[in-house]
Amino acid sequence: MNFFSALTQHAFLQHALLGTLLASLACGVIGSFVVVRRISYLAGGIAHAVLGGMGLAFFLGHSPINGALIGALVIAVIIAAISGSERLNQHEDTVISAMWAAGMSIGIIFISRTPAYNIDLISYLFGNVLMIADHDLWRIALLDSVILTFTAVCYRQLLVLCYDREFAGLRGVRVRLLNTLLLCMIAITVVILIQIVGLILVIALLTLPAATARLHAPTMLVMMALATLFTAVISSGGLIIAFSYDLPTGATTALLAALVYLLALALRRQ
Amino acid sequence: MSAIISLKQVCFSYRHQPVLEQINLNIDSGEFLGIVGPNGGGKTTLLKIILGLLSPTSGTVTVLGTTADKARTRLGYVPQFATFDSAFPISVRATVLQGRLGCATARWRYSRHDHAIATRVMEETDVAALERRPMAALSGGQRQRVLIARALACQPEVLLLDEPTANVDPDHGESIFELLQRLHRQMTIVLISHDIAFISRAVTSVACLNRTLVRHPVTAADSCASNHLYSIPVNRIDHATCLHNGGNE
Repeated sequence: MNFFSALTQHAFLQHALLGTLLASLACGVIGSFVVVRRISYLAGGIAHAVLGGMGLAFFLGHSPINGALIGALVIAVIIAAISGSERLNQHEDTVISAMWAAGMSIGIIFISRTPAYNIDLISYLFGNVLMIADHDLWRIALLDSVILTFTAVCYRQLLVLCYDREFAGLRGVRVRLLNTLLLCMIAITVVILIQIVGLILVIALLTLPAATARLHAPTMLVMMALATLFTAVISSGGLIIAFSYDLPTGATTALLAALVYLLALALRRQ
Repeated sequence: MSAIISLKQVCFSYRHQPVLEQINLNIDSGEFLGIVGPNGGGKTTLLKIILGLLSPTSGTVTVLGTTADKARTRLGYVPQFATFDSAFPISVRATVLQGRLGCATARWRYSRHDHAIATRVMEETDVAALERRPMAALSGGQRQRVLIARALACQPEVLLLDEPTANVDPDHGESIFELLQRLHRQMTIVLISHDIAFISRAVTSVACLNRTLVRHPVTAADSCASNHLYSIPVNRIDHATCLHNGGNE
C-alpha cells in the first residue's frame, strides 16, 4: 500500500508523522547548540546512560519513558558539575565514558531482573515511531514548549556562552547555571528522540541535521531553522522508506541523516 | 593621577607550579601600559586576574576601587581570537552586541539603545560596513577589530587586550595600532604582546613579565627585554617613533 493512502486510513501513521514533526523542533534547536559547542560526545553520554533510568523504572513497574526523563536530567546535572569542576575537568571525557557505560550496565541489569521481559524495551533501544500514542504526542509537545521557551528567553546568553564562555562570564552571565540548564535541555531532547529513533541512534538525529545546516548557515537562527527543516524532512523520509519496504524506522532515519550529511559535505567541497 | 588597577604582592600558582610571583603593579588612569614577556611568562594569567576570571593564590587586587569580581563588567576585554571557533555561525553585529549583555536595558532582547551603541562602536573600529557578514567570512585583522568593537560596546573604563596583533598581517597590525592610539584618548589601555617593536611605539609605559614583573619607562624597554626577559641578548629594538607619545597627561 502506498504510504500516503495508508496515512489517510491509519491513525498510527498519522501519530508517527506528527510525532516526528514535533520532535524536529526540539532536535533542530538543541542539536544546533550541540554542534556549535562540539559536545556531541557529552550528548551521547546522556543518551546512552539514560538506559539506567529506563531499566529502573521498568523494574519498578513504571513507564520507561518517565524513567528516562528523570534519569536524563540527573545525568545532565552530574555531567554539568563535572565539566564545571576544576579538579575533574581534565578527565571530563573519561568520566563521561564511565557514566555512559555505568548507565547502560545498570539498565541491562535491571531489565534482566524484571520477570516479564517486555518487547517494548527493544523498541526504546532501536526506536519505533509507529508505536507513538496520543499521550506521547502531548508529552512531546509539552517538552517542545519547554525547550522553545527556554531558548527564546535565554537566546542572547546562550549564544555568547557557546561562542565565548569566558566573555559570557565577564558580561555577568551565570555561566555554570546556564550551562547546566542547556545540558538539561539536551537531556529532554534525548528523551523525545528516543521515541523516534531509539536511544542507540539518538546522536545521529541530534547532530547530523544540525551539522548539515551548519554548512550553509551564516547565523545561529538560520542554522536552527534549517536544522529543524532537515530533521523534519529526514525523519519523515525515514518513516516513508521504512513503511514502504518494511524496514525498522530508527535505522532508515539515521541512515538517511548520515547520507544527507555526507552528500552535503561532498557537494560543498566542489 | 590615581591608580585604577592595583595589584599588591600577587602570587599565582597552577598545580603547585608558580606562574606569577610577588607582582606589584599600579596602573594609573589614562595610562597605556604594554606588558611584554616570553610565552608562558604569565601575561594572560595576569590579565585574567585583573578581570577576576582567576583568583590569585595570595595578594590583593583592587580594580576601579573595588574587587576584580565586582569591577569586571566595567572592563572591556579583547581575547585572542585564535582560541575561538572561527567557523561559528554568527554575524558581526551579533558579536558586537554581546558586549551589551550585562548593561542591556531590555530584558528579552537588545534595545534600540543597545543597537545604537553597537552601530557607533562598529563605526569607530571601521567594521560598520561588515555588520551583516558572518564572522567566518572575515580576515584576521577584521575579526580583531570586531572583538575590539565588542569590548567597546560595554562602554568600559579600561580596555584590556591579549595579543591584538597575533594572526594579523602587518598592514592590519598597523591600522589596529592607529585605532588603539585613537582609543587611548578616551580610556586607559592595558595591552599584552610578545611583539616588543609594536608595544614600544604605542604605549606610555612598559612592564616586563616573566613570572616576576619589572616596570620601565617606555624608552628603557630594550634593556628590560634583553636582560630580564630573555636570557639571550635581543638584537635591536626600534624606538624611533616612541618619543611623541612618551608623556601622556
